[in-house]
Amino acid sequence: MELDGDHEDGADGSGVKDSSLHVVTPGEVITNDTAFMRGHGTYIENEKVVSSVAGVVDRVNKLISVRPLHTRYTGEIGDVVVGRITEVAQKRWKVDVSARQDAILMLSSINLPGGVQRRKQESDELQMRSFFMEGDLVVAEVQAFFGDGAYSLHTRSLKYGKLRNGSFISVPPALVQRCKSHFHSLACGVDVILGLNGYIWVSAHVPQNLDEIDTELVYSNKNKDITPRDRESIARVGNCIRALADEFIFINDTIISFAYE
Amino acid sequence: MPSLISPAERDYILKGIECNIRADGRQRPDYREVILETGVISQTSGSSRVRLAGGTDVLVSVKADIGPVLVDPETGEGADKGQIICNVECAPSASQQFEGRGADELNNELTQMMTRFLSHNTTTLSTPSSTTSSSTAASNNNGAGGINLSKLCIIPGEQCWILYVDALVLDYGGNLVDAVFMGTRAAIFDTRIPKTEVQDLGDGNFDFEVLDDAEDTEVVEGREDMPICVTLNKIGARHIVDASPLEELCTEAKLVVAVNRSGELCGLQKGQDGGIEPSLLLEMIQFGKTLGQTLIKQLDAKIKAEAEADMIKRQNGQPVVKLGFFAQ
Repeated sequence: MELDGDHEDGADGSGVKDSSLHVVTPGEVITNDTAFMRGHGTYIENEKVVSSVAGVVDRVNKLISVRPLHTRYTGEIGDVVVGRITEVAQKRWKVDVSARQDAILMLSSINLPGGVQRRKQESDELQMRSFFMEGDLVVAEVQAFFGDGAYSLHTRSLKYGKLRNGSFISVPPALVQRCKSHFHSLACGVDVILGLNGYIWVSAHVPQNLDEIDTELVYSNKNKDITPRDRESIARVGNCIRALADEFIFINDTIISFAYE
Repeated sequence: MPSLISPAERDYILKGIECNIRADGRQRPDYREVILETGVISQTSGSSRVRLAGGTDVLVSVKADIGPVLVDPETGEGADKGQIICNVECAPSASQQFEGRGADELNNELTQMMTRFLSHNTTTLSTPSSTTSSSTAASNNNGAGGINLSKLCIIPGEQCWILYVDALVLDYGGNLVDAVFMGTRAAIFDTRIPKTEVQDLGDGNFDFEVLDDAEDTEVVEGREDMPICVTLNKIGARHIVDASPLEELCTEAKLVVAVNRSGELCGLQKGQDGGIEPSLLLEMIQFGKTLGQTLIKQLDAKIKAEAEADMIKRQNGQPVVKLGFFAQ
């Protein structure tokens, strides 16, 4: 497998090559110094600190850990993720976000049609499927963690919610960096939503005027009419993203536009 | 994960297929790129690995073993023929839906499909699901999917070569059937069976010896006539080939057309719950036949080119390096 320095998900998120990158494979000795504390991805064997995963060594003062290359999505509060509803439960939905557990979207965390400030009623709980059904794609933000580590999502903004008019692509979560905005509008008339969990939504551009959004229609499943030209652009952007993912290159809007040209 | 799809995506895919622009930009009859390599496992008589650009990864191996002849108790046939025994298995790591026992039904279906299209057994075995119906027209293809089973017999009535064809699905990216059959054809092409020397001991007893010469081996006779499959997925009012996982979720009806290089229909299987109108059925079969023939030509060209390149390397004394089944 090719391991190049581009996997370093640096704290500045710019993907700058760090010349002191130490890439290790499972079973490789990281250091002989036992003064270090062991973090995730390491174990001690014969008084040596050995790596248990394939990844980059992360050293913070006296703590040594290994950050794996291929791992499930681990998120922070405030992350924008794209997820697929897997289950409709009591007052909540279970959402697959490619993490170790399904995330939870509470009924109280979504915008109900009829106004942002509408009170939740009994009838809403009984018709949860009219909002989100199993299989629907949603874009949401991580609000909090549950005690067992599952994420709690919310869509309490008009830019979050159900996804339509496009197609879905899945890439390794490590390739999507954190940026200021995850909703990009490319020059070719295509909107891209880069979920930090590796789920990406490419869709036709819908001019959105936040004042005029009809809150009744946010949960509709109807796509708008998409021209063949738009379809071609969407397909092309999708293939660019897949190609970038195959080469294990970071994905952000500039590199997608670059690949598109 | 692949087993769920949203109504909006389904609608997008449906409309896209109608205007001939699929989700990844392909047209309806377009195949994805195929990467094929033969001879990847050295301990087998023949092997191949097929990868479709989209994730589907299939490893096929053929092992030639000696065993007793299988005689059909009803017809008395089989005493002078070898056997082909197929098995398909989907690795649980290939897809989330294959975890645990999830792949059992698919394994069963693929194995029975392979057995029907390739081996001498022309009777339809018990159908795996109530919605699948199948038929075999192997009679005009020399039985056994083109392969000459009589040549595989060593001592008539006693010993014969048995070809164990095993396919392992390593990754799922849609269109498993086509990949499995492409891989099987390539693996059979790559198969080399050792020569045997039969000695007549007199009074009806025979003994045979397997010649251990690695260079002096035989190819499987009739391998050029082996069929491959083209899977046609009916979505809406149109049909596509080589479906991606999301497209497979939108399929109403699936038609697998097995065709050989002469354009003869070697097998047909319909899957899933939807219906196909009779006129569309004929159109799809014809389409599958023409596409299958083109595919066979391209596949053969690839296999030949690879074999020739290997031969040149061997003659020059260079080591033949195979990427093997660990290659990304």
